[in-house]
Amino acid sequence: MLVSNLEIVPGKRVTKHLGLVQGSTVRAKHVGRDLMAGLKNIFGGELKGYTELLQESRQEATDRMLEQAKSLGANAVLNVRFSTSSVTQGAAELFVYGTAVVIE
Amino acid sequence: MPQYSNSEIPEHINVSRGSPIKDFIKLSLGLLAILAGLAYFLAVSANWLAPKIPYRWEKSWGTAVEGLFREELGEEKENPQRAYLQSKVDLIAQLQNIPESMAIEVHYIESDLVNAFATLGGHIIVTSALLDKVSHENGLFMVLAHEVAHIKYRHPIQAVGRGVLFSIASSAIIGQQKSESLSSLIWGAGTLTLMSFSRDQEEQADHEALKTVYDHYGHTSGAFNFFEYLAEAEQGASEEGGKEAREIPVFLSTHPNTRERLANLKNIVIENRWQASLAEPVKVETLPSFD
Amino acid sequence: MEAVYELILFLVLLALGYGFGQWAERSHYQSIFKREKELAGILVFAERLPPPDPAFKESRLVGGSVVISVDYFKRFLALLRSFIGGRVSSYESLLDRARREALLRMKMEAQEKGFQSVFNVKFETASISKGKGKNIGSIEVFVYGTALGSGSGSGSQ
Repeated sequence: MLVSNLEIVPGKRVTKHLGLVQGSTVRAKHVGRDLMAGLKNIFGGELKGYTELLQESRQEATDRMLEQAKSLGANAVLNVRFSTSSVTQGAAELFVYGTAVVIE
Repeated sequence: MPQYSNSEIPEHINVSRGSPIKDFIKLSLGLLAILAGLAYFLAVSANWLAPKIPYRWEKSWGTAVEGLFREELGEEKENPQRAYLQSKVDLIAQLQNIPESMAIEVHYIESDLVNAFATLGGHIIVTSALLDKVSHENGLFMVLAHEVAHIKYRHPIQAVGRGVLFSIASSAIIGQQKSESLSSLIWGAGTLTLMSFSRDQEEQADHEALKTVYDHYGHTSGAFNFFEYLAEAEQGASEEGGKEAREIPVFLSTHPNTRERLANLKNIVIENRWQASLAEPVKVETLPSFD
Repeated sequence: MEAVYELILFLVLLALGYGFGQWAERSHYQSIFKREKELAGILVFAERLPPPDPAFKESRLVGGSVVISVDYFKRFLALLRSFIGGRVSSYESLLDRARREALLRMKMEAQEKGFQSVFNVKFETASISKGKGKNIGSIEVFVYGTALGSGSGSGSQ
């Protein structure tokens, strides 16, 4: 499955447009990571735990979007956008959407 | 075919130069100065306004206060201690030229806390623990004269006025702020300023009280009895490492350092030649027995 | 007495925040400069449409992200600043570092997969704060775009 945030695939032609597909996940941080984050809030610096957590979550959202695209019979998702929003205190929603297409 | 390239972009376009520590010092000093200035201004205006409030009004507010501590502390209605303290206070009021309309009432309460204070409407509260700690009449006379002087200069109403103005102003400022650390900084700056006013009042009352003691006894022997006890209690508390913290009388909270206070008072005695020598044997009146 | 302890704790936190924060920022910038030089070969553009270059045989979504926290000292400084207003310079470097770090991570991914350029680059910034007022504690920056090139990878997932 090809994923791209361009509207075209260089050198290839889109034969079918299958519509919007999306994937989302809401994740909360856990206490252990929060503890480290508390320390980093004093000293500053990268919160590796959170970076990984958000990366995993984003991957999960992307996988869900791809699952939708697969069920539509697509072989590529184009013009992909990501968005992050904090839903409640300590939890964030990772959202990704794009257009499912068939390319030759 | 257009050319595509990424060249190096110079630093410090999106990030300001300048040391954060300099920024910090400038900001915090500026803020503190503004806040302290504001608190100072409010305190001065409260001190100026408060004595303009008719004593009648203060008296009526004082009644409410009186009801409160009567309920809280369970004061005995009439006992020999109260009568004795009242007679001394009446005498002091005369010596300090307090008008008849400003009637002063003493309340004697059973408490382990060594404390004496004057409050709105001419009420003076003395605890049983304080009466136990002063060893003779001269010492007690000084404490009472100090509290009467507070009422004479209308310090309680000034303190209330400062407190009210300060609360209004600080809630107006802090209300917009969500951070606890900054709120406490603002609160701290204001409170420190208010405390200096409170200490000034204590000094004024001390001075007046000492003069009253001299006027009554013709010397100032034993006047420092209670302050010396305070100094010892503080010393003890600091040596015990806070174990005996309960022993530090609340009397002190907004008061000047007891040692400095004692030194100042002794200077006044020497300057005015109220006593031939501070080392001379103490001539004191004994306290009556209340048993 | 409690107030004194609180004040001491506060000052210690400020000093620690300043010391470690400045040190972390300096060393992070050193590493950013070094890696930016190393990855200068990977070109990034915000354009939506790449040129019709026959060399761009493969395309693939690449991204990089980082969560970074501001230190206690700078946070307090920003608070003081919010009282008076004006430019909050203490947060500028935080955001700058986060964006550049995320961009570098994206470039790194593109390089590992054998691409030479990334088009249609988008930034996504989110605050991962404790939700206490308008206070920003830490921020996440996510950068993504489509890597184009001859590509050593398969170009599909």
